[in-house]
Amino acid sequence: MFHRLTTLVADVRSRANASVAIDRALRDPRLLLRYIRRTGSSAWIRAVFDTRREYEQLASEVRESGLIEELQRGLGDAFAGLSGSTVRGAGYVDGAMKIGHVLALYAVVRKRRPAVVLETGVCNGFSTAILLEGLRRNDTGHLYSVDLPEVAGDIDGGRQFWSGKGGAVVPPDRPSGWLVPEQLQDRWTLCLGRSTAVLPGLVNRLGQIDLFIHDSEHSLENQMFEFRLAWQHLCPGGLLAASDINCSPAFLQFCEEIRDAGHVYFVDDGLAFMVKGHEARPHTARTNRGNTFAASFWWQLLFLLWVGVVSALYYRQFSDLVLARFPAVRSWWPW
Amino acid sequence: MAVVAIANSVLTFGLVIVHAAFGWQCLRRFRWPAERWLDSALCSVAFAFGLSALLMFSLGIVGWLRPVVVWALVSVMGVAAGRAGWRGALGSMRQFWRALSGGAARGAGLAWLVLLTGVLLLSLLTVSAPLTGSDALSYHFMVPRLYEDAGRVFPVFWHVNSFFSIGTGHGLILLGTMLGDASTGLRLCHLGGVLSTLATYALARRFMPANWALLTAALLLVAPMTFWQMSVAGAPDMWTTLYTVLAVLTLLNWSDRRDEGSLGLCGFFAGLAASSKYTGWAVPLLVLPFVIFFGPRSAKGLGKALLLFALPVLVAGSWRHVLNYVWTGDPVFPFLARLLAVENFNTFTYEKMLTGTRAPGFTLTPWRFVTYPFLLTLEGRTVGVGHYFGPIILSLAPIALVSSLTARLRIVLLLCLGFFVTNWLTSQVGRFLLPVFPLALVLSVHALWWLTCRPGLRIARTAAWTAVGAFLCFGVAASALYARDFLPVVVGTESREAFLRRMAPDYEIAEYVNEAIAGQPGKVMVFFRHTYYLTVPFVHGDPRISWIMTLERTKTADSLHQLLQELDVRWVVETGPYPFWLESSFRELKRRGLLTEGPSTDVENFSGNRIYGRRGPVRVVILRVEPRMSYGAGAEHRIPTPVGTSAVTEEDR
Repeated sequence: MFHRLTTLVADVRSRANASVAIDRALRDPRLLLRYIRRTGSSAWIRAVFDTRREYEQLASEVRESGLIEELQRGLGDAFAGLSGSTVRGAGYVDGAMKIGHVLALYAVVRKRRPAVVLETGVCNGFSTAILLEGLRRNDTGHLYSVDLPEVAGDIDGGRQFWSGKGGAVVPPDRPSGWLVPEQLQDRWTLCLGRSTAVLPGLVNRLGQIDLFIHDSEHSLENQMFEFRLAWQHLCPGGLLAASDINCSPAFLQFCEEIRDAGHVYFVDDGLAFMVKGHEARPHTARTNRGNTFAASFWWQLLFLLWVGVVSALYYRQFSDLVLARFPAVRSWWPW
Repeated sequence: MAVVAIANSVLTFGLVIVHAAFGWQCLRRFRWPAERWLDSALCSVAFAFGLSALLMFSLGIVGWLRPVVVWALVSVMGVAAGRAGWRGALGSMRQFWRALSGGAARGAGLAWLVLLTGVLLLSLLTVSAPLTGSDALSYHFMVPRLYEDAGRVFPVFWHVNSFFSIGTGHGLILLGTMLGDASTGLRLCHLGGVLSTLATYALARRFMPANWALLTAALLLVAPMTFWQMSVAGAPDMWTTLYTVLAVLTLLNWSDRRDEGSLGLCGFFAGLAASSKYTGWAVPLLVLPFVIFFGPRSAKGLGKALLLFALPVLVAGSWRHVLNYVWTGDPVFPFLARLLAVENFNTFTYEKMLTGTRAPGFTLTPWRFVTYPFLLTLEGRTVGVGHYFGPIILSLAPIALVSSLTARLRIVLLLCLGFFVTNWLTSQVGRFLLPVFPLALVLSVHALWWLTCRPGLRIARTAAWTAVGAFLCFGVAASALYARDFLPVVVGTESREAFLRRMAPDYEIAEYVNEAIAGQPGKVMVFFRHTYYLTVPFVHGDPRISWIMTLERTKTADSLHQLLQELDVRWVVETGPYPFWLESSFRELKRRGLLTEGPSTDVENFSGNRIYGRRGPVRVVILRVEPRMSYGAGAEHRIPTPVGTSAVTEEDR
């Protein structure tokens, strides 16, 4: 509860998030309730990690490495002199994922040690770099990225994008994923093109995917297309991460589609995970203290005692029945 | 025996298919979206059988209870199902077969499936034995037989259970006995258990992977309570369980999708649960707050949702209260009889019903509330054989407390707790909790799943799995041992008569009375409980069961003799001491020569519960009621004429 509250406060403290929250509250109070319910939910941490501490330790790795600051500095420099808007009227932004989201993805990569990670939507490569850092530390796995970048100032190129797309662009004369440090690129394959065109061939080539991350075009059609295709190729127990799940009803629709085949966990109102197949795990929204208590040796011993006493007293009730029906067992019957 | 059993099984299967097709068509018309085939199939079958049960009582009210009418009804259902309905039903069967044969279950799931199939087959064999369940012989099958003989539904005042114990489920027993025989009725009771198992699987599947859902279903099926209720008890209680689980399932579907069809169905199933037993009213009453909570925010939308829910509840749930009110003036007869000052109030019956529907030691103290879950499991015999549910729920309760639940599972938990509190407040009889047993199992297995998925907890996991494993072994062994008594007659190594003498309580008494009084005019007054196998016209004389044996009518020899004559009772069967408040009147009648001793014999009968197998001799004496001068206008008392009826009771038989 405390964690949820602090996460919520931290989230709302960001001015952009606060305005989103107010906007939702005015439009439909239920949206605000949903935002509050999802933000800071620790169920996903219980589902993926053994303890909250493990998650925090993994997340702190990348925090302490200085990579995030380095990437943010790079982005800041590149976008310092860049102003303008896309052909759809959206102002230029760097399109970087929220820090909380990249930390979550990084920790998942570290914990799950996926062999094949597939990501759609790279843009400048902020989250890509973090994911690659996770793979580097794992010393295993490969990241395949699919991207169709919008370049700032490219009016003609900008017309091919979805009308609902925001202003995430790469600076002129910079390639997609330019932010990814060179030393991390040996585990990376970038495929340029629209995901509807590139993805089918790529997933067929890859066979099975361990982790899929959607962060490309957030239209209903494209999201549904990517979710369905990726889910089909996701290995049992594999994870599908979806960013900006509120841009269209696709995520909830897809949840309905696959409800029996996996479990859904919300990191917050913008990012969610689906766990596929037999490794679906029970809902675990308890506080860490509860889990720690449950995991304690004394609790387990008490539980063992409880089960023993209940079972003994229970089966003892049938003594007279057994003796009435089978008098021969009277000689050795314990009760 | 085997041929009859196969024929009955084929008939039951045919009924299932017709009802599935008809139900499918109805749900299609009501625009209930079929998201999962198992949910759809279960709801179709349960909906159509619920409708059939209501129609059977409707036919009974208008006096059309004839086999030919019932066959026509089933045929009309088959035709009304149309091509779409039949396609849907057969499609469900194909899906079911595909799920079984297509490798849907592997590993542990396969083990649970094998266990489930084994226990189901065993129960199917057991249910082929002739009817011997105690309550079935007393009223579950007895009262429908009276309706069947009379061709209509009428108040049976000499058996007060015919008012509060008879409900929608008995409409299905009536359906079975009218289309086939008692064995078909028994098979329909068994079908309720099979469908409840599938519904439990469907509910568990919402929260857990298939293997865990199969384990939930297996735990339900091997519990002695379930095996007993669905195999030989001859009680329709498993239908109440089915309707309760489906009401919860459709409530959850509605809370997900907010479609009107799911809400209407939820109301219908909750109503059917309510009309199956008085205690079943807890189901719609507990579901109602969730309908309000999940309902639309606007007053108009909420009103519409409430109407959609409440209307089917009232249609499916209130019919027998209306009947009771018309017959007696008390909609929940006999429980409000004193309050509503019902005519010819019978204190004996009333008090017996109050004590009989409450556990010994019933008290509403906080200590009792705290100890009730323990009593249920560990001292089950004292609180309505609650121990037949098994120890799993109590054993895994600490895990359920520390594990966490999704919002939907919390609904299941709240419904469970609500039903438990209602049970504690009203009766404290453990076996009345059967309708929510599957819900409690879903919560317990979910907790086990949580425990199994957590890293570390090796000691707790081992303890929990040992408890589950022990109970599964115990359940299978108990089922096999219990079924052992019934299998000889099923496989043909024992004759039906020999089996009934061995296993049916009071059968030898009934057999002797049938032989001794066959073809004689008038009726027999009996005092033994299990009267299903009596073929001669009879009335029950025990004031604890018979509402007509009021104190005024029995306190003197004269009034008792007058009552016997008015009831056209020519014989009284003495099978032991009379209830003490009748003793002096009967003794006086004997002394005056108005009751003369006729044929008598010694038979063997069960002493105590049948399960213990203890038997003892019983002296059966048939007494002739000698006629005396008619009781003229000066007679003090007349036969009690219930409100809203003429003295119709037994003349119709």
